[in-house]
Amino acid sequence: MPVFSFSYRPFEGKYIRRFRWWVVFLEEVRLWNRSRIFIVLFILGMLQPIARFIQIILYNAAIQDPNHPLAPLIRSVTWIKVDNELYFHFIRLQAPLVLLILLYVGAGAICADRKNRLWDIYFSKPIHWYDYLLGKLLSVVFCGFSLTFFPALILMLTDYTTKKSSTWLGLISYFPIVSDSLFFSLILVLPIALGIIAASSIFSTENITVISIVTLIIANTSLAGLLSNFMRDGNYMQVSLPVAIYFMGQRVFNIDRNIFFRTMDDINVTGMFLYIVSCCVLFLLISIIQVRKAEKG
Amino acid sequence: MDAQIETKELSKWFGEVVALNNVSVQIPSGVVGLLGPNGAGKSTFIKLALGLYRPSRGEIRILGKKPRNNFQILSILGYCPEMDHFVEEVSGFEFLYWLARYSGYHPKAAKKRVGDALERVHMVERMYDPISTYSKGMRQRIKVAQSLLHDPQILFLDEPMNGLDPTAREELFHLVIGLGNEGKTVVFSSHVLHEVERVTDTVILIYNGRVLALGKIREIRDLIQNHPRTIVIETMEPKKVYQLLSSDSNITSVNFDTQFLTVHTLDPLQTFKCINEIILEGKIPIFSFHCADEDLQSVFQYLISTHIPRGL
Repeated sequence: MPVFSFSYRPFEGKYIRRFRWWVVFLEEVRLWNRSRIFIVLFILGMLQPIARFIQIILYNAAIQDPNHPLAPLIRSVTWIKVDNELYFHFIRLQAPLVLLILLYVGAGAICADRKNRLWDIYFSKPIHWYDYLLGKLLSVVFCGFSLTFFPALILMLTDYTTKKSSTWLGLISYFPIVSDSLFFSLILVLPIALGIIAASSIFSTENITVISIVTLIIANTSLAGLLSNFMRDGNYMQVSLPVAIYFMGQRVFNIDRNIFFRTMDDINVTGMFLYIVSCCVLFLLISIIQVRKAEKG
Repeated sequence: MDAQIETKELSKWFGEVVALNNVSVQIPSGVVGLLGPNGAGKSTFIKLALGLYRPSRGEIRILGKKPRNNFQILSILGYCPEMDHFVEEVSGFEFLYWLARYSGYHPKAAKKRVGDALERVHMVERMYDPISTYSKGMRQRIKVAQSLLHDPQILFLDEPMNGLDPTAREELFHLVIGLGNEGKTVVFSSHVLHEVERVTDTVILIYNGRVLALGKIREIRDLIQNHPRTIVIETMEPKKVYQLLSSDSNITSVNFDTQFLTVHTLDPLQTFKCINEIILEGKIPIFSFHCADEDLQSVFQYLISTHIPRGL
């Protein structure tokens, strides 16, 4: 136990003047980082990156060494190939766990503070509402990125380092995949994070926040399905946020696979992108209004 | 008067509920008691001072500046809220550490400040235990500690004695008096009158969102000079004592008990003189006598009953 002197010393150091949201971010990360449930979920989220890591090592070893015992097998399996499609599928398959983990870490981000009446304490400190909101949001986004973009970066680095012919210039060839992964991760994580933060700022408990988000996703996709079935003059599946995110990912990685649409021709990519952006703006506005209301008193 | 906190026609209402109505006060440095029953508007006043609420009308200034979103002012304000405001799963040390970081301290400085503040409220022993395991008194100490973290110039303590055991109360009394002696402004809110009397002689009496009186307790007491005062005399023969006192025309009413005589008088000094004469004569033994409504409670009751119309 530390021993402090018995005199009360006035502070002689320096106050932090900028980037106060960083403290909110750090506190939030620290809070969910200690939870066992989070650790279990995070380990589950790391299973795919580990599998992909092994896949990349095996593929590069087999492809570069014709005498490798696994070479014939690996060459015959098409889905094991390491290319830009691997990163798309990696991020896509992480989506359910991303949703689950973000719900766990984000659902209580704001509503728990309101429940514990912490707003009074926080806003009596020299901190703005936007520092608070930004810190909370970025912590959730960071959590999402730690399951999508950051492991994808590590996988790219693994791919680069396990190639015998790697040169420094060869790194440049990864830039398009890096930007594609970043964009897809952003398009996946940001709407979820904003939606959860918005719901957390509206509802009183974590459970209601989670239920509302799940309901919203189901209702949104069901509505898109119904519209697609009944109205034959357009591809209304793009009204579903998960479908729009999936399709934007496909487009970014230049993959043409028609799962949700009757034809790929009448899909409005710009419209879909704007739909995702407007959802994000809506969620952000709700969060801002709620937190501003709390800060206004 | 060096007003640290100044309000002009400060009002705050929530829908149709008027929490604070037309409050104009100047609060000097030192310890000031904010006194009033539950729901009087004490917490609203404090939250307005902290910039947590926007005034519905009028203004509040701390050191001449509006506190709302003013980092310069917020950096010198400390706040101990009435209700519990905790992250239950973290330790007291960690909770305070993050609040110190919110106040703008770098990690090293924050740890130092937390250690100092916890030491001041005698919570060093349990500082690494989760807050959920703390007793009511410990939670109260943690709240006080967080308000002291950044060595604030102006401190708002909203009902800080709630849930504290006698030893802790005594420590907090000394702490508050000490802070006042250091030249800090401490606004000490309470609905328990003797608590306020322990730490200060300057009070603001607040009731139904209005300020009833502001100043030294003695000055406020003088307000009830013309109000009948109650004197309790302890004697074995109360009726005989009354017979001897009946010549005093200032006595307005009396109550008898087996051992006590309670008299209401318009001139307590004259009545005391009469009692002294009875004692000096030595015919009837009088064990003790005292003025029963000299304390702040009586002043408060008097001000409420006379200054505020019924039904408000």
